[in-house]
Amino acid sequence: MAQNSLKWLALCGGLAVGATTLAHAQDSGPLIDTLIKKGVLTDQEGEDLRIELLKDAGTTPAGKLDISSNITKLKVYGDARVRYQYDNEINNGSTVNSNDRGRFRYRVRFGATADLGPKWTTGFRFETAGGATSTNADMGDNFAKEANDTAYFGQAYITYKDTDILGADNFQADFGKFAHKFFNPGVNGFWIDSDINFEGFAQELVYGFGSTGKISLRSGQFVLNANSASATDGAIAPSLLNIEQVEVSVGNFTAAPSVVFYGAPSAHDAANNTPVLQQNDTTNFTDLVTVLLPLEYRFKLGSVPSSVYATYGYNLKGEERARRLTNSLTVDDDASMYNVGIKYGSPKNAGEYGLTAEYRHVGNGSYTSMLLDSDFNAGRLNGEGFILSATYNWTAAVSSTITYFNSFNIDRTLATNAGTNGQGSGSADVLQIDLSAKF
Amino acid sequence: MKKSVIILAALVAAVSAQAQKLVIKGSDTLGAKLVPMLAEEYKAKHPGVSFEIAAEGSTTGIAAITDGTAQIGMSSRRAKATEVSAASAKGVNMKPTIVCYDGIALVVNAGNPIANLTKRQIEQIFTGDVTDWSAVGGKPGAFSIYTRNTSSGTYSDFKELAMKKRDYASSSQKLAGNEQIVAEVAKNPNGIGYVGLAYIHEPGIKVISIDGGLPNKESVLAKKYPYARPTFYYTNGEPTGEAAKFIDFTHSDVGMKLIEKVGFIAPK
Repeated sequence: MAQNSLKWLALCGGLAVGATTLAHAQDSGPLIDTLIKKGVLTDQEGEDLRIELLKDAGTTPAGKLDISSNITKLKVYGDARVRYQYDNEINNGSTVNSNDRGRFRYRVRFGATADLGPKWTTGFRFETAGGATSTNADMGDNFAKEANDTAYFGQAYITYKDTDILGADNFQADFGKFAHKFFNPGVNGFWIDSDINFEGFAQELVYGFGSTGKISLRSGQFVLNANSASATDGAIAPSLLNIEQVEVSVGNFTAAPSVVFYGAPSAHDAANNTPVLQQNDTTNFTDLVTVLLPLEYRFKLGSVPSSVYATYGYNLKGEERARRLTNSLTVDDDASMYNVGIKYGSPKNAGEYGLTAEYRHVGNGSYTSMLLDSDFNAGRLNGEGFILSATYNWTAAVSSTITYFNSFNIDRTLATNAGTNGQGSGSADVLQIDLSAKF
Repeated sequence: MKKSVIILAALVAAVSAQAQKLVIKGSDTLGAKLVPMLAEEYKAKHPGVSFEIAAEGSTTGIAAITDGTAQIGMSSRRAKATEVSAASAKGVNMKPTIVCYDGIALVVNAGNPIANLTKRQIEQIFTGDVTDWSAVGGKPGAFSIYTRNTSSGTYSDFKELAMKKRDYASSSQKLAGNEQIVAEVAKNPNGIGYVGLAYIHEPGIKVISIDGGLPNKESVLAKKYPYARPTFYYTNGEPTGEAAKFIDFTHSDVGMKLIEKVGFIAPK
């Protein structure tokens, strides 16, 4: 009698589990095997139970999904953000605003990754907005659906992971259009805007040492333009951006010497070309060889995880770049860039908050506006200023953030209006108030 | 009048004979030897019944139940979730009945000095992690791996039981049935393959033990042999009519003796 009751209990329990998801139905196998082994169920009763669980699971939403047998793990993820943004810009020498506006904006990112066995993964992510350094779409235009509301493929990639390649503990290679892994401390990323998805090929080798040490070697070869033959230079190879990094992490300290350079002549900033200034390089440019040293030290203030961070960068071809971008052979070039910041808190769970303060300096020949954080000084060169940011987590998935950016030109003689020759506005204030949800 | 009665009787007989045709499709493991022998014995006792047996793999047997093209689907593996839901969507109520038990035996050429392999070595061999007999203590020579084709229940059962669901080595050769695997292994000194218990007594091959254990009645029924499994008849709901009678016959004393005679293990 007791055994019979136990059998029915197991049967009902199993069915309840099976009704939840297909995965649970399949997970019930070991339970059924155990019940058979203990003599609670006969083999035939076990088989009847297995198939009932599958039938029942097949009626649930999850059970109706038919996922390719090649997929060993499927992850669906994304986030949504609504933002109020205020922008104020005043050109050098002017007393009136050149840009004074309030915008309501949103962004959506939705993606999936599929593991295809232990070594291969493929994935994609849809994102709002077409620009490389922004995923924001403006609301408005009388509720019309417009180009602004289009979703793009922000990421589409294939990843290969392995061990014991060149003696490394872990190896990863990414092909396609993907998020980067370069160490890049700063609000929204200092020298690589956090919205950028690189296109091309990237590799990482990770070696562990000691009890907490880790060395990560990263390399990226990214395609900028599909150049075609031209009368002036005949270049047909794609112009390339290369980034190389060696990240050394020991305990609470991380340092990651890096270099960013055009691996093949780039047409980026071509609008600012003046043949007189670049007689040997009239269409494509090689004046970006910026070496950087990002650093971070992590500690706890009380029980709150905190960190201080800084980056120093210097373009070895800063003078050439500054002259070309400012269209002047006599400009005082500033080939250096840096940031320094402090973070208090790293909000992950409900009720946690974080504060960040950062100062930035980006000289007129130091780097490329293609990669800079687009929210600070509109992503342009010749700017410095500060950023304050505060985040509060309503839940682990929902948070609010307020960020204020204040920037102004380092050399106020260079730019008379926003964006001229890649240089920043006279001064710019940006206030962003966000509500974000992720899944 | 008399002529009309004769014609009518002939028609009734023809229709009756048609109704007693049992269509059985699916597993080669069951359908190549055991089920034809059961059918012959059954026909001897029920002369009006005819059989159509097609042994082209478990997948085809389960599909035949879903499509309604067979009364019994033979399978050496359990129906997959997708097959069960596809059947449910068509109003088909997939019902498994255990026929007998089998152990997937690893067979090598009779001249191969290897007598035992570990489960790990089996996984390494069939996934291609190792490629030469010398890697598992044998005479140097590249493995010739013989597997069943993808519609076979044994193919997917072995992948699950022995290979942690990993892919077969790209060098492996897919064959249509157990008999073909036996034939290839028997003539290839570097051959290795797997077959159901009904096929292990063929000349030219030998069964190797797994972690010291051989597939036999005791180890399979006790589920101690790592590659032990039940085999099934699938029907649409509880079997009825001639299909029910044939399944009952399979589990009768006569059927059990035939199961043992063929080499499978009868349910307790």
